[in-house]
Amino acid sequence: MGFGSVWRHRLGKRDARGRPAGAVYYNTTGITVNGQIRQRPQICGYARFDTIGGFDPNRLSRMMGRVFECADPSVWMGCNKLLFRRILSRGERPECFLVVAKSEFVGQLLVGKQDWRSPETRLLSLSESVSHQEAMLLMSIGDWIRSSLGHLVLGPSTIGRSLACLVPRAAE
Amino acid sequence: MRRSVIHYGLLIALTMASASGLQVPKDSLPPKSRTNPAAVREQSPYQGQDTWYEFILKQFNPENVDYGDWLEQQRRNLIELRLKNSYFLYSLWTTIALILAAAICLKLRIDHRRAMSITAEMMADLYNQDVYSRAVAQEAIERYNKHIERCNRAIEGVESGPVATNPREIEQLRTELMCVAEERDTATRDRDVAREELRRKSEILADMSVRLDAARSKADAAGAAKATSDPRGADARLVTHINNLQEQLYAERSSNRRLRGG
Repeated sequence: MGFGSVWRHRLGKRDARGRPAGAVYYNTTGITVNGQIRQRPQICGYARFDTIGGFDPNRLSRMMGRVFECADPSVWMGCNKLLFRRILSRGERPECFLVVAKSEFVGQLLVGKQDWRSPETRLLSLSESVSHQEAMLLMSIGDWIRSSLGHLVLGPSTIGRSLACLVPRAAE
Repeated sequence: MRRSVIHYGLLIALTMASASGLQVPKDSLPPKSRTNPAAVREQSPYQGQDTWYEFILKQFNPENVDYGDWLEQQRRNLIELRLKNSYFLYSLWTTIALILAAAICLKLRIDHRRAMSITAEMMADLYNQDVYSRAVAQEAIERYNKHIERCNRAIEGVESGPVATNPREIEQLRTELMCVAEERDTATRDRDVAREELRRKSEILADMSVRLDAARSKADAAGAAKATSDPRGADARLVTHINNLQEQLYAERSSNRRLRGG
């Protein structure tokens, strides 16, 4: 659970008071190279958030664990795109989780290898440089990925119902 | 003439007063106040009565003792006679050292008694454990001996032919043996039947799988024909396919990089 390292934004049209309204934020993966965050996309993709749908870029920690209504994943201009339309009320149960996996925490992902992920898992974006990786995945509870550290299964978090975490588990 | 008489009188009185002051012994009693109101009253031609607070003070201190002066005198005596006396200091420090030594001895004695008590408890535990172990070992040895004894009897019985026991028991044992043999035969037959049934079901399942694949391929062909009626599902499949291709492309790039030695 989490967001990618790279954020971009596009300000919307100005309202009657001259303030930008309806800004759009794009989140994708990135890695730190020489102290600076670079995208270095191997598989290009991004998640789009609209402030008009309730997304608050100034309170990202509050945005984590919230359930969004999303459009189906699509491909636009060669990049995978996932649109987060609006925030749902707190009682909603999420179907999928936006998972950002960093190689520092989950090891090197075996992307492209056979059975490196469960069939329902979707890889939205992947950044890589030398030995560093960051991947943005769309997973449901019980989905799994394989990395150099082993088999990681997405399990419900004990903190909250709308949170999940990748848990190492022995491969079946 | 009269004035000289008064002067002589005063001189005698002063001389007597100074002599009497020199003869006052320094005892430990508290000194009295210098201005005795009773004496003043006696000398005074007027017999004035005491005020109420003088009366109350007199109830507490009827002899008009100066306790402050007395305390000061006692303090000076203490300092002069005791604290500045080297014998007193020696005695004081010796006493303190002896008290400390006695306290240390007492502490050591208490610690020793405590250690001895703990040691005694441990020794008691060890002794109890030893007794228990010996009892268990004895019991085990007895059981072993009994077992060996029975084995020996059995071996002797086999060597000397079947043991002559009750023929009724022998018959009963034979009957039990036959029952067990029958149960074993039944279980073997059931196992063979189940194995055969499993083989047949596996064949049927394989046949059904082949049919299912054929039916699915037909359905896919039909679904492709009416793909225009379900663009959303087609999009999803397409996106999934693109994702898979992206991953394959990434894997190929990685392998190429590895082959180039990058």
